[in-house]
Amino acid sequence: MNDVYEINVAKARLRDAYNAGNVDLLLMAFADEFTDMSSGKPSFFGADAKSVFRMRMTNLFEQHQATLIVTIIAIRVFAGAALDYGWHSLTLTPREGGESTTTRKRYFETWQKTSSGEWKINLYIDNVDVAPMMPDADILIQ
Amino acid sequence: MVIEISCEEVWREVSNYLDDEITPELRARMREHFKGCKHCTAVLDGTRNVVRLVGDAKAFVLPTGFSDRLYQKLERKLSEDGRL
Repeated sequence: MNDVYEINVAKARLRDAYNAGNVDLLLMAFADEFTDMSSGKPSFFGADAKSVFRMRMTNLFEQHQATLIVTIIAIRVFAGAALDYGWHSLTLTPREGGESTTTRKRYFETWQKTSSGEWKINLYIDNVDVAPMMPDADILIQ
Repeated sequence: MVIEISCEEVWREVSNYLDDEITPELRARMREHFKGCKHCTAVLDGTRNVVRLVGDAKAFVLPTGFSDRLYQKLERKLSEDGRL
């Protein structure tokens, strides 16, 4: 299997981990030391990032059923490193009832290939998506 | 588990998808991708329309006298340009 396919597989596992609410499976997608720059949250680095992420996701899955839809725009591989970017659409349904909320974010992440040949995320950044629209009129005039 | 696929890979395979010349595994991945990606669905619909248009001989039936009028126009243009 080629590297692009392997990253697609890793991304599918990450998606399925969200949808199953499985924190352990979810954390397997990430390198032991990674950088988490998720929007609306403080940045975390190194081993701290994984611990904080574990706690955050455990709380999230305890309170919500999650449904993640991944849209990868592109994957670029540079030997033992890779990047991908796209959108994550996350729907959270409260387990104790209430309305579902869906947040669509555009993400960028980098991957590293481990010595055992597995691809792991070592940097994650996202921000809230904005619906497609034409540029403002004053920009079009220029 | 349906493996993810990127938009770029989908664009490369969209014609083969329409021609049913891909593996069942790739087909399933692309079908899943289309569910969540409006951009690629638009590319798929656009490509399907082009394929349908090109394959439909009726779309290219020219009106009566079209060839004569085109020939006359070309002749006039070429003589204006001094090339006849």
